[in-house]
Amino acid sequence: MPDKPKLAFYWCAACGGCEESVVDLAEDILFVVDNVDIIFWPVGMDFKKSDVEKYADGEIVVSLINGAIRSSEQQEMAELLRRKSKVVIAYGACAQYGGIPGLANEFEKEEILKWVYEDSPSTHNEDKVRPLLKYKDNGTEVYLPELWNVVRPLDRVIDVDYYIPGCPPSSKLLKEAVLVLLSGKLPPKGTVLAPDIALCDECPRKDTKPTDLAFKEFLRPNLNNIDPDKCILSQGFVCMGPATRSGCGALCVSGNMPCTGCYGATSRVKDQGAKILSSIASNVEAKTEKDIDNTLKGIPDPVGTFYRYSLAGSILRKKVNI
Amino acid sequence: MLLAKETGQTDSKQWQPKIVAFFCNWCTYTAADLAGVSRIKHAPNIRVIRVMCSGRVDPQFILDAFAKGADGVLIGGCHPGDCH
Repeated sequence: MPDKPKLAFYWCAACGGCEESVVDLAEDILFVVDNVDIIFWPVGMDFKKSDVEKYADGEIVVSLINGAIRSSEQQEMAELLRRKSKVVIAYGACAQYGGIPGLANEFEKEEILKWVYEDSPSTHNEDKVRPLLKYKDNGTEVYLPELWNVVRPLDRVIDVDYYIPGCPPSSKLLKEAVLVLLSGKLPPKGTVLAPDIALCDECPRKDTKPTDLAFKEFLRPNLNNIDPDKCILSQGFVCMGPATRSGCGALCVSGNMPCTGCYGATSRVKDQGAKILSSIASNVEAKTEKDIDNTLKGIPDPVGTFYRYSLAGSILRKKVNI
Repeated sequence: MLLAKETGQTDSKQWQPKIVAFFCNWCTYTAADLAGVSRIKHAPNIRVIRVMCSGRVDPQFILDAFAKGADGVLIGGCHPGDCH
């Protein structure tokens, strides 16, 4: 059936959860395959890179790429799909902002390799063997992709047309995006295909959010119980809701866990981490430096808390000098 | 401003830091204005941005200033408890 628009999925530095969200379409996936031709989806279908290379430039209508870019292979595939596609969508938090893999930007490449191949408790590697980029055996040369020094969101590597946020994006957003693309009424380039308002707006506990917040201490969900009816932030847990885009239906809050910020910021905010940091810091009750330090002890990993998904795409991007 | 002085008005070829300064309208900005009116010279490294209160300074402004090439950011605000 040559008439159906061609759709490609690809994954880069990601966990596979985004692929799962495609499967989560359940019976709606039948609607998707009725209307589009999936021509490339390494996790679900048996197509090879050479199949993609056979298409003319721009012949694929949409490529949905999830995952951040941290290796030469991912960059090569992203560039290939960009060339072959009319529209490229950064799918999920990793492609949009770097996501969890982006937190690797806190460490140097050598530190990471040393930990993974030598020092981590589950590693037994007495000869300190590391993967080689090239290896020749019996005249056959095999090679591995190279790990880059920094993790980058997709739009720092190729031109990206649209973004679908989330870790993973909700199936609802994916379905809506497919409908928009099929309708032919394309939104302006750079649009994030999700509501442009903070999560608190759709939070079921919205009415219990006090107008004035004053944090005496910060609590952690693994050490303290969360009251299931009250605004989580007002209880002293860091909830990223005020600085996070809605669209997920407040899933985490409905499961009695604070929002961790995977949908990224709204269009008015440039740096999600700085924004929530600013909001939370202004509401700390303590006034002296010593008391403030004490209060902030409840947040032992500020980068991992405030920039959990957005470090690689933020203004900070990475640790200095890597 | 101390930084600017230390790194030398003596030799113009020396590296000069670019400092973005967010000044509160009611204290630091007024003081800088008074210094100007009084013809007190100071180093030209500072680019002053007036804000109506240092509380208006969003951490994003600071990150943005550094990202766009500032070597330092100076925030001038009132003493605690002295807010306009």
